[in-house]
Amino acid sequence: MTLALLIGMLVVMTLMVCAPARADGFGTDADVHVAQSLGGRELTVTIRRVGPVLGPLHVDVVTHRGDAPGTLQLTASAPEATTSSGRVDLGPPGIYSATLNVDRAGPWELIVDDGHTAARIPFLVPAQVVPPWKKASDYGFFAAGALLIISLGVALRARRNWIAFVPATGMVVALTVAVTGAALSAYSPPPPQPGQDLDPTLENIRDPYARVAANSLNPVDYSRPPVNMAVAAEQSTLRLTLTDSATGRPADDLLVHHGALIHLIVVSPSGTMSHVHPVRVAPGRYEVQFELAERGAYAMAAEIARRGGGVQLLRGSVDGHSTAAPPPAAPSQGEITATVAPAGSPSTIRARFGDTPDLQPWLGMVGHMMVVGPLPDGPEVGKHALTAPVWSHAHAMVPPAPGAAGGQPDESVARYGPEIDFTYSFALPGRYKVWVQTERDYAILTAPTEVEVSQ
Amino acid sequence: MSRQRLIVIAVIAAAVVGAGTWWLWPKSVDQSAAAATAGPYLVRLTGESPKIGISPVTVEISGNGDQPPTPDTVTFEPAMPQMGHATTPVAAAAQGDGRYRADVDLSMAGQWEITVRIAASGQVQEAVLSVTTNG
Repeated sequence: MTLALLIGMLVVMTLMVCAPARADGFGTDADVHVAQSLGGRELTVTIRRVGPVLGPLHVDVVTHRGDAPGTLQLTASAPEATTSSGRVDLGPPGIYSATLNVDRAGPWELIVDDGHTAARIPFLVPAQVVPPWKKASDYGFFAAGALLIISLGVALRARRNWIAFVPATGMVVALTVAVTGAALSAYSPPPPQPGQDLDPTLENIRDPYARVAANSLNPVDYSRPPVNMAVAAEQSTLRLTLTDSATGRPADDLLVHHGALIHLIVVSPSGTMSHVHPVRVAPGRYEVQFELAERGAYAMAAEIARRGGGVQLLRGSVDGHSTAAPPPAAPSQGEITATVAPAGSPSTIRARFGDTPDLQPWLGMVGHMMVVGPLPDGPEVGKHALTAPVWSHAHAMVPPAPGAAGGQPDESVARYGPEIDFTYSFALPGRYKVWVQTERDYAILTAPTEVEVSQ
Repeated sequence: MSRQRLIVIAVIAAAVVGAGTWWLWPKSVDQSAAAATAGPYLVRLTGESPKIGISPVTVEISGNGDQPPTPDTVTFEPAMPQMGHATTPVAAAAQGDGRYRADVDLSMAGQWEITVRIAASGQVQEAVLSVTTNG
């Protein structure tokens, strides 16, 4: 009896001491922010926190200055699930929302259609997942409790004492399983993440632990081969075809990194920089509306992240055949002061945009800095940029806000700047083109400059 | 044997059987574990997960909404994106009721994608199914 009581107290104490094991949902646990250069618009599409609870799916579309008003058709679809549609009517720059519905866990697509092009954004709806050690802990405590009652009853009723030891021993075993499960849950490695490490399927979203045992025997490097990019220009549209360099198949496993599937930096023949985000129109096929208004070589670099990790930089080019005079360079929307150190040492680049601290984060960052070089003097910047060894994209991070929760601030937070600092080491001596980008009042601001780096 | 002891044994046996039934109760198997759409078609993997090596794979091709034209040819193209290798495409044989079967070479354990290429009246549609080999 005393033994049984002691064990009973142990159960209660263990339950109180052990932190509750988590029952996490896998897949997207945070908002998905993805920039889309759709038609002539520069949109940020935000798929709000999708939890394991099915139901409404909140989608925000942020439009920027210069985006035409109009209507976008939003559709959430998945194989064998109910397709849900909505529309947003775009007006002045700002945030426009629609609520769709998801009725099943698994990989989904959000289709944003402006009437000409349909951008297909992949996203995941997670499932409620109970880790195996949580199950062991739950069932173990349940069994221990039931066996405790049985052993108490047996101890009171049975004529021979040893009979009570049968359920009591069972209870100790169940308790051991439960406590071990609860204690291990905090230290157990997470399973491979569908979407991030594995190609997401309904099966691995519902049971991400299914392959843990196999992976623990054969540690898996989830990184994938490089991607090849082909660029074609057709009637003011750039078409990018991404293929796996090892198999030649379409590479359709791009992750949203720094708020886009692809960051495409284009340097025009005269040296104007554009930072656009091609939309996915089919597996491995991306498009962006882009006017080749100048004659000569356009150099470009696409930043992508494949499933399994690692960001890749893919270089490409197209030729502009315009016979019209090139458009005049847009005036700089900020001032850049560069304190340039010799090659290989950290330099400081400070960009100042106006006087008020109301810059908004664009693509999750207060500022973006693009560096291309070293370039020789003279025209045909695009042609030289094609072979320039350095193409960089640096970020000025959003400063941490104490007590902030819920992931990165979206573009409605206008409280940063007006000065943005970057520390960057120019690897080689020579002349570089530098551009800094930020956002204010839903307008994307660009400040270009040139720096000379000494030996 | 006393009556009390019988009751105790019965209670323990009932508890053990109940717990066992709870653990072993068959979970509902989702039929749509691997499914993809390709234009007017819905392609679904049927049967057990393929094994490592040359393994039979059967898909069921149905309409995604309206009744689509019957495929002229169906080809399975296996590839393993994680490892960066692909194996020889094989033509699938029609089994009736929209089922197509072929033996594909899935030479490693892990996640494969099988591109099901459907050619019908000059049109080609592709559906990518993700399958995990076991064993």
